[in-house]
Amino acid sequence: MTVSLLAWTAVAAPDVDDDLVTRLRAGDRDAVEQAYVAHHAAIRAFARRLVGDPATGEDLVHDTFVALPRAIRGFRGDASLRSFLLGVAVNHARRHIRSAMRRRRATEAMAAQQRAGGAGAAADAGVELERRRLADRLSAALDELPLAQRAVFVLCEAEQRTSVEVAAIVGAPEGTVRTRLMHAKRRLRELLEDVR
Amino acid sequence: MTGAGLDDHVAALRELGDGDGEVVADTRARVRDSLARGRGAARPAGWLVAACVLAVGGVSWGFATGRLPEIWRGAPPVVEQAVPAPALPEPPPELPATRASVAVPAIAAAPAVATPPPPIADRAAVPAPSRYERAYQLYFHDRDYAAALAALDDYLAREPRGQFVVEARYNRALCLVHLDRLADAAAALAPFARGDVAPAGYRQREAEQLLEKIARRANAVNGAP
Repeated sequence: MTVSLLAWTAVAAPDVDDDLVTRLRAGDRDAVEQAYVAHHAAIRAFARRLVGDPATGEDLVHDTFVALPRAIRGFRGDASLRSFLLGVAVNHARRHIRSAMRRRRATEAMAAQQRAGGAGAAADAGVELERRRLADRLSAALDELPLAQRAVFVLCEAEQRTSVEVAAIVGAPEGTVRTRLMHAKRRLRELLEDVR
Repeated sequence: MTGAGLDDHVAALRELGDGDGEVVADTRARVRDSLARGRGAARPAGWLVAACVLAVGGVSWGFATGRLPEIWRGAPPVVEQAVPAPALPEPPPELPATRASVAVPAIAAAPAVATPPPPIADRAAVPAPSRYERAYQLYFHDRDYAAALAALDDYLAREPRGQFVVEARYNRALCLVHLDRLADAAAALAPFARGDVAPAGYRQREAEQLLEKIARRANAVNGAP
């Protein structure tokens, strides 16, 4: 009887991610495509929110999946492949955040010129534009935070993930995640208050 | 400006999430191209080249200035010093057959690989010998599951915030399975199966499967269908 119990973990039916991870580890390039198909939407949503710019977010998605064949060596299987990919995205985000910051500043300068010329007056009424402006303002405030706090804030607040999930993604204890979130929110409130 | 609060800003940021089909396909094609050009593998090679250049440069500078230690300038290197022993041994790939497997040859033919998971944390950071390592030795090398269980209980009691607490709790459940204490094993596995143990989902699937087996076994013993 004991022997059948010993074999329990061996008879576990592998799920799709397990198979995918095995193939990724073996260097199967089709497996990267499969991972992209399965997880691109979640990674893209996070990347765009993290860097605050769709085009730069797309670059981050690209880098995340290109890094996957190498990064998968560090996958321990204690979180889902999607969580792991989000962690890879965080690790590659720094350069893209700087790039998005430069792009946002250039766009702001252009928009200011248009407003000065009266071109933006009609568009100002649009709900979509207002939403975009709020998102830009938050992204600009996020630029003032360290990457670790920024990533935790986006994962917890914009993506509404639990602190347990976020801890697995960023590889930090849950308590640290909560502390980072608290500091991030406090700082963001100050920053957003300043620009009003 | 507006009177929007942080929540309004977050709601606006949330809207940034989706990408249209064209962008999705474009990025997919870029990923494919980059991988085909070997970009994913190129970077470590670049780092390797840079590291080699630095190493060669450093050694040359050392020779030129006479600042290299004596051992690097002719004396044969001491191999034992060059390769530090790891704090914890690597887990064997398979659990060796048990006494019970000899007694029941028909079942023993099944692949028995109930290998406890490797620790989450970096093993190199563990001071040796640790309590957890002792339990590990008892489990793998001595196959003394009762002693391993006692060692894990000792570890959990003395180091409740230790580096390997999650692994110790899971491996403790495996010990209980080995010892046929299935009710205790089920209780120990339940939080893992529920996903209540951080990091989220740690060994959740395996714990669920073990619990199903325990339930089936209990039904079989009780004569339930």
